[in-house]
Amino acid sequence: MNGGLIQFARGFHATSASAKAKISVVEPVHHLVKYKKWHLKPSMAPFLIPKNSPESHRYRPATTRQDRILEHYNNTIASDLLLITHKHESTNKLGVKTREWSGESPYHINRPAKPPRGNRLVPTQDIKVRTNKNLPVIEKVTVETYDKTCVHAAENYIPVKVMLQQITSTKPTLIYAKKNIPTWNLRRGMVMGAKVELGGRAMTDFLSTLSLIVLPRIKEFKGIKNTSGDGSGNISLGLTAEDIRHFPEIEANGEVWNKLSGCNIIIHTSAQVDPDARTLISGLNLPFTGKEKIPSRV
Amino acid sequence: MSSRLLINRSIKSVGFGNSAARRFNSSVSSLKVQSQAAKQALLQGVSQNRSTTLSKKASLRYNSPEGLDQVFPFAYEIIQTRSKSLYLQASELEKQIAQETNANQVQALKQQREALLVEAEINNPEVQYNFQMNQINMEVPVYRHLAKQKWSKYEMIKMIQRFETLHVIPDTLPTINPEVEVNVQFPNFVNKWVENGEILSTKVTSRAPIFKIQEFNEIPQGQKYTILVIDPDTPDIKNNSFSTSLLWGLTDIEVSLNNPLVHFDSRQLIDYVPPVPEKNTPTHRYVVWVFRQNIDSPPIQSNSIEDGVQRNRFDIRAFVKQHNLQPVGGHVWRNAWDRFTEEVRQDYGLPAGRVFSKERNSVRL
Amino acid sequence: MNKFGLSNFVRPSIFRSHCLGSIKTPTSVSTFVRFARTSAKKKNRGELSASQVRQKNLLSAVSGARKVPRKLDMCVEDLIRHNTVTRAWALYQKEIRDKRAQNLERQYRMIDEACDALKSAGDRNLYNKATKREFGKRFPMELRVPTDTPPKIVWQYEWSPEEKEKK
Repeated sequence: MNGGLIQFARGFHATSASAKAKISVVEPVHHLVKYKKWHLKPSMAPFLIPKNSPESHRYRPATTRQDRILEHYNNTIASDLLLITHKHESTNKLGVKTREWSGESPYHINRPAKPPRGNRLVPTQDIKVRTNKNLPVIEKVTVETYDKTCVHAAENYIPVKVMLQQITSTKPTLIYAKKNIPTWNLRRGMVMGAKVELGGRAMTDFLSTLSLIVLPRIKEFKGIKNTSGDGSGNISLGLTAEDIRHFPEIEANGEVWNKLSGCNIIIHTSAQVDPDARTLISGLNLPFTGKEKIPSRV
Repeated sequence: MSSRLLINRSIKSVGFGNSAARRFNSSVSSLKVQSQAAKQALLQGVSQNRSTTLSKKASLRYNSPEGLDQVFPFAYEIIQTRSKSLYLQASELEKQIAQETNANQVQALKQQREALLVEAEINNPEVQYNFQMNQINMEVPVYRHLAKQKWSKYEMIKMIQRFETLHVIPDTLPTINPEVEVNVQFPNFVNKWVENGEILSTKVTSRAPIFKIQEFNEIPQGQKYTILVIDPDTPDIKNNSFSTSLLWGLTDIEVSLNNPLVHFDSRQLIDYVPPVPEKNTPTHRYVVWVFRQNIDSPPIQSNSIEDGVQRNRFDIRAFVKQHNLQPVGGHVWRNAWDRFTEEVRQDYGLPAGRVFSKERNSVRL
Repeated sequence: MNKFGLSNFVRPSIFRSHCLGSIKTPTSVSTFVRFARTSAKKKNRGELSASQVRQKNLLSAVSGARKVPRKLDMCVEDLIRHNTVTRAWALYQKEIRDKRAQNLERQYRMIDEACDALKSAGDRNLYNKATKREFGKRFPMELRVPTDTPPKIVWQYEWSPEEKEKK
């Protein structure tokens, strides 16, 4: 009769709950203090110790040496960037956004929003006024390698992974195909390559190796292309398998590496537009080449 | 050998002798390590002074991390300098408090001052050592802060979780926002503080428990507390339900920060009757509620029906409302019928308990 | 459905497993698949080809199991001393950070004030020229990230990039 009715009151004469609901019930919560349930689990106790305490199993000494690039940024580049990117009396520029339906008609419920006005299909971010508080910084660097041969022999991810670990000194993660691409014989879930996301000391170490050792030795390298960039301040460059040989970690025992693959390097910055990101990156001895196109919305 | 000498000299030259130590609050003795040996090991390193926490054998094998002894004096210097500036700010606030007339303003300034005093001492290695060794004085803000931090990270959330899963809230009071730590111990179960939600034998609970009410804020002058022990699982056959009965009530309790134990001859609202669950009733919850009394409210009369003090069919929500009580903490333990229950009933001169059938349908008995 | 009448039974992952034992992939499935795998395994037992050995060595380089350092065992005093040093370092870093942020804030304020003054001076043309945002600015390649061991000649004051281009 009342299968869906949930009765929370207990009766003394019943051995079990008087009305068992046939649906899953989320019990109401009455306490006011927020807490995390796993904090009470004995097996999770080691994770309650803060990471920066030597008692934690996750402890790693953080600051063991100078960070030259970070200091260079703070001492020299930051103040120059503030001057270069300053625009007097500028205002926030709103990006184009998707347009929601008005909701007048009941048919508007769950209807996907309209794309932005004009010929753009993808919404863009707002560009905020540049101040001393939002100066562009390098947030992270991604190094990724795709290997075509992984499609036929999945174990080929191993040399790729080891190579990335050697040049970045960080453990890489594998990249898996997200969908089927029949023309490449690629199916969802297959290994395609490996990638590393670098931050902090590992990132600056990689950047200085790149700018001081690797790129100067590449004969045909003129600079990062000025056309590179995704429109929101992330600049990328590519290295071929031959270029990778210039990394000292690979060069030291070059004969071991019978097969190397090239990689993409993406420098993620907090600059809101690409020209600002290029100015920032040029401060780290990374040259740019070619004609630069200034986007209309800056 | 020469390098060892060099290190010794460098430590002496930087020094944390009398001049530097003056920067921490030297007037409060509880902010210092009392044992001279422990203090030396802590401030000068265990490579020259034997660690008081390691055994003699273990300390022979023990090596300090490299470079720690060299870098510590500089770190200590930084922390002392900061502490000094914070104490200066606190003393300036004190002057402001003396001039202020608005009571709310004074309260806010006092809170600010306490936060500064905590920050001035929280990085002091001696304070950290004393806290770890449990040699603390709760009158000092920094120890109160550390104790509250420790309690609210584990014991507090465990208590809330037990109250929620055992449905103590909302079966007794609608909710809980704990501000004090409540601990319960039974004289028959010495040196063991009862864990929240624990199922105890009726023999253990046959004598009245001992309570500990630990405040973490300064206790205002004349602040008093009330404790109620209730059983919300008393069978109510007539209504096919349960009713609440009052096992024990204590009122006008005074505790201090350093002496949190509730005095055994505090004024009773009603005598202690031990938990004596009847056979085949579900496991009973025995809930301890601790309330802060309103300073202006008149005292609650013992055994007074007008004041809502009654053993059976006790209405805790009405009682709290009537006397303007603020629930600040609680505790719960559980009892079921066991082989000692009848014995306990005889000791207290209670009538023999009923025996219910094991299987009870929704049909009334 | 494939020709054996098995729809999703023969998954590609069976043939292309990540483990080393199954590198030899059967080209045609003549027997029942479950047995094809075990027989391939039997053949390979105890012997790895040269490429497999290389892969095994490479894998041992990326596996992190043995590379986790042992936990530091410290006595109570040293742990407190360590924490004191860590806290002091954090406080020192915060001091530096705050100072740097203050400097930038002051610089930003001064730039703004200078632009305001220029605007109120009345020369519109001058103001426009002075405050025009220049794009394509690059830091010179000669600006090196400082090192502990700088070159003997730190800066060649006479040198300029224009001269280099003329040559």
